[in-house]
Amino acid sequence: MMELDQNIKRFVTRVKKRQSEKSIITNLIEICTMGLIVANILCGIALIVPFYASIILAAIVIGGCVIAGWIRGIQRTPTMEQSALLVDAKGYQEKISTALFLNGRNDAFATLQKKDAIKITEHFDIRKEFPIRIGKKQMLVFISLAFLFLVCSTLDTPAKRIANMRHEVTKEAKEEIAKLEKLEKELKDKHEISETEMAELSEQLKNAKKELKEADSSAELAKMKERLAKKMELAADKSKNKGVSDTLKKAAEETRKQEQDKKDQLAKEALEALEKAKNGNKKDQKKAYEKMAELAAQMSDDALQQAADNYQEAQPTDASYAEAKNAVQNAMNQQLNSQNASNQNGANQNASNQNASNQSASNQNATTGQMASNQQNQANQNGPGNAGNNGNGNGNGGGNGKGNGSGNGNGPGAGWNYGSKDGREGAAKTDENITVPDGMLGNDDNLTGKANGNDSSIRQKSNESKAWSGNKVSYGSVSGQYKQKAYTKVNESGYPSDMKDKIKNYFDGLN
Amino acid sequence: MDEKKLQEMIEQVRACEEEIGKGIIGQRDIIRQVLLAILADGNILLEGVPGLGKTELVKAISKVLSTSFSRIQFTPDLMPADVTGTNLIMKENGNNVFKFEAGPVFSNIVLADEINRATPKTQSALLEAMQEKTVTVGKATYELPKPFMVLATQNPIENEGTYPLPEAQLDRFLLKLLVDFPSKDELKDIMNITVMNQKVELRSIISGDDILKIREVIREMPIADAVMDFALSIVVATHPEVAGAPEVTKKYIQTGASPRAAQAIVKTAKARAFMEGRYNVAFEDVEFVAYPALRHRLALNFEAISDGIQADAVIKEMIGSIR
Repeated sequence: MMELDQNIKRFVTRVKKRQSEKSIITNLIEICTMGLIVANILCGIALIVPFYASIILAAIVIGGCVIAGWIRGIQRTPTMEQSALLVDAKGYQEKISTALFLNGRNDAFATLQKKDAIKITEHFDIRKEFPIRIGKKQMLVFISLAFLFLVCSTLDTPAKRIANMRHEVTKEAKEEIAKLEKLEKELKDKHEISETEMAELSEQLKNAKKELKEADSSAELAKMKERLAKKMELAADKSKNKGVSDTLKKAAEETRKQEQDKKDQLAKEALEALEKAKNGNKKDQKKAYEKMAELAAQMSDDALQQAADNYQEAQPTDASYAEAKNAVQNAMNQQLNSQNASNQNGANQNASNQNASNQSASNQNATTGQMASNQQNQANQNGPGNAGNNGNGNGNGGGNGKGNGSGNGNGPGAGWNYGSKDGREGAAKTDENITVPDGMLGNDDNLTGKANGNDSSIRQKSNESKAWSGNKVSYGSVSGQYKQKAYTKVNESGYPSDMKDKIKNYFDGLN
Repeated sequence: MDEKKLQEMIEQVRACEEEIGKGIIGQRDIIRQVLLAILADGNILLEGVPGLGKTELVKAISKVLSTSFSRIQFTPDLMPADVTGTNLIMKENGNNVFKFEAGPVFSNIVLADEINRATPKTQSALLEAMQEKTVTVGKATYELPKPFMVLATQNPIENEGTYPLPEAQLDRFLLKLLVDFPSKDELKDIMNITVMNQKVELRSIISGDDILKIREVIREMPIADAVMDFALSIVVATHPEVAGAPEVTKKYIQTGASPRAAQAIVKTAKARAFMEGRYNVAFEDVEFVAYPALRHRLALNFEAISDGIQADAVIKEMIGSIR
């Protein structure tokens, strides 16, 4: 009797297991299909919009769906009774479910009934009766979505590169902020520091953290770190507390050293990539160029400069050197052009909006940005191998030619010009020279020519590209002129007198 | 009880079915359902137009079952005492004494022909007999012979001078069977038996004691939880006031079936499984007996009557919504 019960139970358990497999597979595919749709949307967005977390999110969504599908599949697995009924539904008139129900009963009817049920189990092919089939359409959709996800997640697009770069910058900035917090704590805990000095330092560190958080490129971050190091050194010099001074100096040194190490490393990588491009076949060269472009995009000005110097020192003679050099140069140009575009916009706006009515706060920022960029230019001109003054216009179209100082020379020392567009250099501007463009915009030029070999011509209008080196003037004189112009415009305007005073106060505050 | 004995019993019942089928042409389902009611210890209400062989069927059954049989023709002037019997003054040893004279109800099978023609008072005389299997006259209660069952007939088309059966009495009928008009071939066979000289002699197959034994066996028939659940769900679904009742119930049913309906379904389903030679009750047994067990227990509302909806249609939809 026990044997009959066991046989029935064993059979129903096998059916249940089969149903469980079926349920899990079906639910996994069903839910994973939904997950893949979401993942593809995320990856699709990441292809066009910088969105670093897209792949991680997509992976989480898919992983979550796998778990959810598994759980749902298990949840929907029929019970023993339901499994028995599923067998009965194949035309066995509830014999299996009754036999299961009679488990443990030994009366005559129960025995006869169980024997009757056992006859069914002997020839019942579970795999055949309960096949695990997934609809062709469903499977096709699933495979297509999986393939699409694979393609989307591996495809390299500018948006993805930007996202990766931003992520790296954010990560680095966070690390730096953590260091600053540690430094702040150390200053508070270990040294007897006056409240005023501590408040001052805290304020500076707070500002530094804020700036670090706002950094959106590695070059910008590098500059911020350099500024931070300077500020720490200044604070160290100013501090009367030796312990505080030493701590700050040490922190500044560390920051500089780290940055220098990073730059060295980047320069080394750039050099290695160049060597590879020089010696390898075309495929390797292509790969190396890509690597160079990638590195160049991540490199700060100094690192780029160092890489350029290294190339010069290497004095390669074969043709691949030129190719490699051009690759680096292109990468640099790409970066510089994109950075100049923002600066030039600010500069152009400022140049054209000389009237007081348009002198808004944003213009002011743009101007400051230009000043900063020009300061950067000057720094570059002083650097080794800088041929910025001798550079020719890069002739890439009238649009680029409008800007100041964006002309890149053919020599390795590119005459680039960029700076922080939000003008963070403003605080250190007092004694520095800035560059004021000595040229006007390029003249309009009409170009004519035959279109498609026909007699009729197409007339196009373009701006003549022009590049200039710029003159150096003191900040004070520019600031004074700028303020004077603003005063004149405000006085000529019909603003209420209160408003005029406010505007004047604002320009006064610029000193 | 062993398998062999059980098979013998099944064969005996099947032989009865065959034998009754010889005397009653066609009506296979009706014969099967009547036997189910007999095995499930219930009373039957046969409804059909005159001349479909309802009375003949009951007569044939009584012959095959070799049990006592009596027929009561219900008329408006029939009195309860005419059914149950009465106390009569009789001379016994020179003294006048009251002695109970048993009525026609004291038989194994009672045919209550055209039951709806009697007054409710007389119809009610059968209530105790049908449910308790006893008759009370004066202060004395008399037990009816075993097995006991009432097979009542009624005509659905003649309403004048009839008294519709009260719900309480309807509920005491295990099944209500609808006797349909026979097919042309069946009609031809009926002609041969009744109009020509062909005679069919029915033989007795099973005794009253055998029926009682089979009833005992059927009671032991196992029914799985899921099947029992299905039967009960059908009965619960007939109640429009119950939350989650099917739409058809809410729309067409005024009053649902009583717990007797659930008993009727389970008992009859067991009997059907037995007759099918199975050792367990299946969903199909429940579904098969749900119609005759419920159709007279559902009180349809005015909307159902105006829409021409029959109880069977409502039951079908209810079962569909439950399965």
